[in-house]
Amino acid sequence: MAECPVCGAEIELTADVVVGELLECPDCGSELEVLEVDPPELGEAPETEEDWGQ
Amino acid sequence: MIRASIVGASGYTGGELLRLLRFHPSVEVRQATSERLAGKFVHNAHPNLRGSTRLKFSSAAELEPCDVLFLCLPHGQSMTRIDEFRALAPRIVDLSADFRLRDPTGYGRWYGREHPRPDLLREFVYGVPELHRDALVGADLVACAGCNATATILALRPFFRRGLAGNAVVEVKAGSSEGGNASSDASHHPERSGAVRSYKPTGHRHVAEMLQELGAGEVHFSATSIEMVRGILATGHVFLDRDLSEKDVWKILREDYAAEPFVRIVKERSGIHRYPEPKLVAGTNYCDIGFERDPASNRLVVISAIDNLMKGAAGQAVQAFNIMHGLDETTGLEFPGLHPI
Repeated sequence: MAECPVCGAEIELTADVVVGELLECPDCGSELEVLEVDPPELGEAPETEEDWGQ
Repeated sequence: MIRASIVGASGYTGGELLRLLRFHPSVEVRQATSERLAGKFVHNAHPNLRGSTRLKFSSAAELEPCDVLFLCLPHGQSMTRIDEFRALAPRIVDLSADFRLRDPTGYGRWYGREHPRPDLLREFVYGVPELHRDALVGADLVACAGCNATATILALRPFFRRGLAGNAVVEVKAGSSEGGNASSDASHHPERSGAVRSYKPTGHRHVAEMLQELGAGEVHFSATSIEMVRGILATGHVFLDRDLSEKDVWKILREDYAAEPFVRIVKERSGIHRYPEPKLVAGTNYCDIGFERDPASNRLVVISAIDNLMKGAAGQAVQAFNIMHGLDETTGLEFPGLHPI
């Protein structure tokens, strides 16, 4: 299990997960990157934001 | 089978109750009353039910004993006729405002009338399962919450009950079905269509319920009618007494709602459905709750969306009914909504 760095959700990682793999948090939808596998650590993957401020 | 009848079934909440109970596996709908439409098929008022039932409206004078009565009468009628209804059924689910407030003086202040049966106010359980589930188990008398109150209370309560805030400003955008099925100058199509109309900037009656159920603090509430038939979007501005990160807020909402079958936390990082949106819960019993922490102040914006006729009325009533009877509380309420809509 790893924790989403954005919302704190517990995320189950597959046994064959590798560093650099991208996944999506099921709760907040953040795109996450596997930073470490043992112990598991996730970080936010860079993303392009929409501009809704017109 | 549980024998249920609906009093005042020609209105929108009555129609939604008919739709839900008609397909409920543990319920037999015995009668649906309407004085105006007595003798007519219920699909005359609720055309979506055509072909699914041959039930006709009855007069309330024809009501027969049953196991549960759902009261969908205009405000002020349940409180004066409650003895008549209790003689017909051991269990009552009232969808009006008549038994929501525990303090009888609230009726004078908020509804402009004295309550004729203040002795019963504490016997009714306020029908929001997320707040009163234990009291609903086996209850005989339930008062369903107001639609705006439901949306507001579910959004604010996690923060108020923890003492994280005692002050909130809430703006509700509401659909036209909140006004019921009686026409008025305000609902005339050329007047209502396209409206963004402040109809209650202050003093909305549902504030009485909010204050009662939130326990403490202040709720400054305004309501605006918008171009929508079903739905409520409540935007609450909560002024926090202490600093919370977004992760803290996630934790708080999960603590209160992760196990709730009809409350979903909606806060996506990307895409077009990042926060709760009324049309995505139309026809469902869900209350979607989202939030954003203002990094520049102590303001937390909490957003909730419900279908006013469902989680804000008939769906809430059926959820409470299920709990009262020891049934799975999601029974008859599984519809996930439509997309696109």
